[in-house]
Amino acid sequence: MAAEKSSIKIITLIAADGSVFEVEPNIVKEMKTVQSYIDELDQNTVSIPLPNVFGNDLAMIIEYCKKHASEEETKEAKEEFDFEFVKRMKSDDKLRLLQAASYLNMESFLQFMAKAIAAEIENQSVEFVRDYFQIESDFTPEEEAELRKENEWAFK
Amino acid sequence: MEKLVALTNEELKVRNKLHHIHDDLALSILSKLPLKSIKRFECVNKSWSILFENHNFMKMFRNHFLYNNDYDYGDAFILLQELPVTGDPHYVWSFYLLSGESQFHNKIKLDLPFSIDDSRTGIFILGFNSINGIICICRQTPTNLRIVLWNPTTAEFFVIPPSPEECVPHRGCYFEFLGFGYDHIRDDYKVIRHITFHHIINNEEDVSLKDRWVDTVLEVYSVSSNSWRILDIDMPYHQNDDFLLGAGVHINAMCHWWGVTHSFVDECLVSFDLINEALVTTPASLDMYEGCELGHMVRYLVVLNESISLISNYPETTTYYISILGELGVEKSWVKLFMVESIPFIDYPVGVGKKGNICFNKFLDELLWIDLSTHIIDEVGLNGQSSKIGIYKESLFSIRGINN
Repeated sequence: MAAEKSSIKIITLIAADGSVFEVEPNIVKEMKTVQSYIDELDQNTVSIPLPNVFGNDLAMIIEYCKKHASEEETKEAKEEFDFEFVKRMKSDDKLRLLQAASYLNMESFLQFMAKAIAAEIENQSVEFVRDYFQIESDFTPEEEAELRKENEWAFK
Repeated sequence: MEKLVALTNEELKVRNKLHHIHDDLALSILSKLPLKSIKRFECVNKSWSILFENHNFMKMFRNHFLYNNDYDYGDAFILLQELPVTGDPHYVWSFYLLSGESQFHNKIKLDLPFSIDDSRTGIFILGFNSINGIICICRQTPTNLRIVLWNPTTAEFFVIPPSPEECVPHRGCYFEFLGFGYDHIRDDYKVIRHITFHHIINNEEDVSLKDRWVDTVLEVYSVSSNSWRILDIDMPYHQNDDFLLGAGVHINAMCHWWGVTHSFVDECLVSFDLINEALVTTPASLDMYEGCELGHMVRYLVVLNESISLISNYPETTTYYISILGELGVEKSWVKLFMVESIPFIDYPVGVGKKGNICFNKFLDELLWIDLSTHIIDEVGLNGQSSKIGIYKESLFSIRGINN
């Protein structure tokens, strides 16, 4: 089994919009969804369709994985990269990447995106968060007023 | 594998809109927020309003609380050990520096560069942890309190002089709410304490009781002024912490103690702001512990990963609850976070470490660490009654500041 695995040289990932990415096996190690698929095969090249991930997002995820898989990069350089990586993203991008991370079963990237989103909403209002996650309130106005009064300290 | 269907960008957008973020993902995000933000977002919808009852969420929140703290606490501990002497009512005190990869690989016995131990009684480290590498060592006698600041790395020490209040004849002092802290605005170390007085009976001196009577006093010492100053602040509380000597914690230029009202009915967190010299109290949440009346629990106040935390124990049991405070002054911001139970033979906690490790004294006076998330137990390899352990971070800072 180990010999079969190591025989795979190149993995082709196909995003939902049809865009194609060729990557080395060590890049997809963190993508458990992809990895489990590869583990079942014994061929030199594999192409894997990822119908729930968009091309732009997959490009970003691969960029992240490449940086973090690199043994030459220092811890500081990786942290600097993480900072810039999040900085250039819009809210929608973060949510989509979080969902992609969940679909690809990438635990540490998922935690990283969740943290980035938490940092964005931390000081925001209830209304902002509802809008952000597209959540409808299921409180009656009275229920909501009561809860807001109870948690008054959290609004200061 | 799903069949590949290439979608246009427009189709993708529509498809994306339809997909709300999954509950588990939302919980993962929320678990990374401070308590205050979580409490605010309880008003988002009904399912978010009961997050603290959600087992899944609590698991994530605890995990984040324990492991996602970048604060550099330093990687060593100071241990104060007390050993009885055969045929002698007194104890021998020793200070140890514990360090190394596996927390206690290196144990170095520290010699005090000053003398404080002449009666071999009542020695303690105030507030357990070092502040900028400086620890505050005290010895209480029936009449006064000796206080020395000490940097074990540089061996520098600084003896805090007694206050005029301690030097009145026929009057003894009882100290509560003792705290050592750092005012970063003025780059100054301070000691705060509340003194209650009692009379020392001396039949040969004829001083009327009335002349000797004095109210209690809250006073603060500052290293930069090298003097004590009485504060015009009432302290209508007693200390109620089972750590006893040296109990109380310091974080962000504030000293905190677990207190109780004079009537011994209502418990609360008593905090003193060293920068603004003001007292803040935070009532204990009455619903914190079902089935046990307030005032009957054994309490230990600690700082766990930068949060003010209260360890509570039902007397005579080995069940410990740990609650953290979200916001100073807000009773409703206490959250019960951990329960440690069924660990045999543990007696009482002696201090906390990093990542939520708690050090307990075991019966037969052995020390052990308990990891709050895994419940893995590590032996410290040191015995000793009433030992206290505090986090120590080596530093070359001078006690009297950079300018001295």
